[in-house]
Amino acid sequence: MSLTKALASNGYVLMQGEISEPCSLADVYRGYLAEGFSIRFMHDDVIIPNIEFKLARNALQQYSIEHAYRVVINDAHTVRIAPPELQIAYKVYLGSDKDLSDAIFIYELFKPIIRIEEMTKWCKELGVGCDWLVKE
Amino acid sequence: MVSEGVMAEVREDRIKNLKDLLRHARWEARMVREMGAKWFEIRDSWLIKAWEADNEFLKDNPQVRKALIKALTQDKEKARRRKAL
Repeated sequence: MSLTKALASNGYVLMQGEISEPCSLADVYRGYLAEGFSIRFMHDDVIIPNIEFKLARNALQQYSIEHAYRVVINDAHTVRIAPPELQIAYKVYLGSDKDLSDAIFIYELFKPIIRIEEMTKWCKELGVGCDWLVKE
Repeated sequence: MVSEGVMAEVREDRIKNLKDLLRHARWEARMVREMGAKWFEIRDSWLIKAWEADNEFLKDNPQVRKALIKALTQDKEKARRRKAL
């Protein structure tokens, strides 16, 4: 409730329901979040981009939250992101062309701070190889 | 029926395409590291224009807007259909 209040006061709208109505929020919680589905918020009347929001559903998602990195934007705002080593391994695990290029993008971008051992550990955990990322 | 030769060509083409995609992703990340915010300013100037045009279009066409919201929020419906299958 405090999240939706803060979002509503900053001009965000809930795509699946009415952000200012407690009954609607309760329905959305029961129908989506509690069932393991995600919900989306958009700003004002702008549909894209929007924010997808979901509850942690498995151990990897839980780990991502507990070990999130804080990224400071323009010395003013902070967002939390999943550890890049896990993001990369998970993208490789998903395995589409887009996921693989995302994996290589993240690897190359965070190269100076990537802990290779940690990334290899997650790749092993997910049963995928990531040596090809490190090679070039 | 597609011959083995054609399939081999398609496979080869797909691998080449993936290699190109990966090379481009690596190059783009290097550009971000080297140029920082400037890179996004260069890369996104036309994207911002396209986004503004899309936004105007959606404002003028509420039915399309409604359909887009529906498409973005139908995870639950998709899962229900999968379950039914």
